Amino acid sequence: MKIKCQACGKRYDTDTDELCPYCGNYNPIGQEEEAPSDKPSWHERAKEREEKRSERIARLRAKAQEKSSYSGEPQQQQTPKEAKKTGCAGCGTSIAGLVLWIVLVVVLTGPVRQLVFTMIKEKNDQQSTQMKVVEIVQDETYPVDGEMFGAGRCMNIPIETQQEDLLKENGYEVAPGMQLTAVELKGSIFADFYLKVDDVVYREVYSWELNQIAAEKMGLSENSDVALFLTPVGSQEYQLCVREMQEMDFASDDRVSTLVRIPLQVEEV
Amino acid sequence: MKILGKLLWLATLILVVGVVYLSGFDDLYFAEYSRVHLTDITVEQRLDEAALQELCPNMGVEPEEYGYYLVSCTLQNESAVDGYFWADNAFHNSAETSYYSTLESTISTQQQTYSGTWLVPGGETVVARFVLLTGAEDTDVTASQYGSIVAQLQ
Repeated sequence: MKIKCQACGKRYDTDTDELCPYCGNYNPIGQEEEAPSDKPSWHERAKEREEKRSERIARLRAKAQEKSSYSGEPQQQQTPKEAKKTGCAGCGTSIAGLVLWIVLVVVLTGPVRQLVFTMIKEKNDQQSTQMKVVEIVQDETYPVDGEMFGAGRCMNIPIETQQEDLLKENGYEVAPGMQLTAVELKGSIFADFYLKVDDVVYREVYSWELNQIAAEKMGLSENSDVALFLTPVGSQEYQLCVREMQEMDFASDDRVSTLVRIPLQVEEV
Repeated sequence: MKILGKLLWLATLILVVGVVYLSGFDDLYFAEYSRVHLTDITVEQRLDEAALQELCPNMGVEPEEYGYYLVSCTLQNESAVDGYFWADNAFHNSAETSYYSTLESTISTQQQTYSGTWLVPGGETVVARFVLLTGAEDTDVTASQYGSIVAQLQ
């Protein structure tokens, strides 16, 4: 049986199609000839929809133009093709684009980074072996860190009870068979120095009272600067070593740029 | 707004790339440039209880379980950078079944930088003297980290 679709108004055969083959509407049989509906036909509704859509687009465009004229940007009408293009360019500033750029930059410049690091390491390796060694005699001075430095008289002082007590008071333990070695300092007292006695390195022992006692025993004035060291009795070779340090590029370590050795003639009290 | 967004994007890119680059910089910055070698071990004497009390006054002595030796080592620093020698766990017996340690002693006080650590100044060859604690039955001392130098315990 042929009937007229209530939605689109087209005719179709219900023996062949249960639903309208044009719009998919279900039309109960026997009601198709009812009084004409007030509803607009499919064509009318589609036309109405299209009109509304066009109006909305026009409104949005007008709004966008208004906005861009406020911000002073030139007004551009984009064709769909152009819109597609700029959409892709936007990818460059998106998060995915950022990750892509990071990977790209890191991967492409990785070998350069490796090369730079290798060059710095090689330079530091080279620097770490460069050192100037100077030997001067007692009473002579040499510039260290911009100030003159030297060693004057040197004397071994036996440790008596008074000295031992002062050492203990200052936190120094005294091993049996040790003595105090006093070295008169000339020039800068803030230099980085140590005493090398028979190849063993000794650090300075500091006590103001002991320094005064040593200066007195050496016959030096009160204002003289004396460095004290705990050394074994009966040692043979005494050498005061003073260093000038220099920072290395891109490294946490300092290197010894100049090492000044001063062999000492030691007097006994 | 658009410019600010781009600037933010660029700043993030530079920051992340910078971090990735600088992550390896630590290895370079804290690399070891000193070259300290142990060239010789000399066992000076086995310490008896009286000698040990003099050198290590605050130490309890257990001669049945341990051996106490006065040892000196020659250390050479081939670089101009100060280096350190860590005596603890540097020494063991040749079978590597027993690791030795050093004892706090008055003889080492003024030589050490920290307990068990000797400063080897750049360009110097120095001697470190210390009391070595071994097993009572051990007969030799070896430093395998430094080219397997061996000395007999007397």
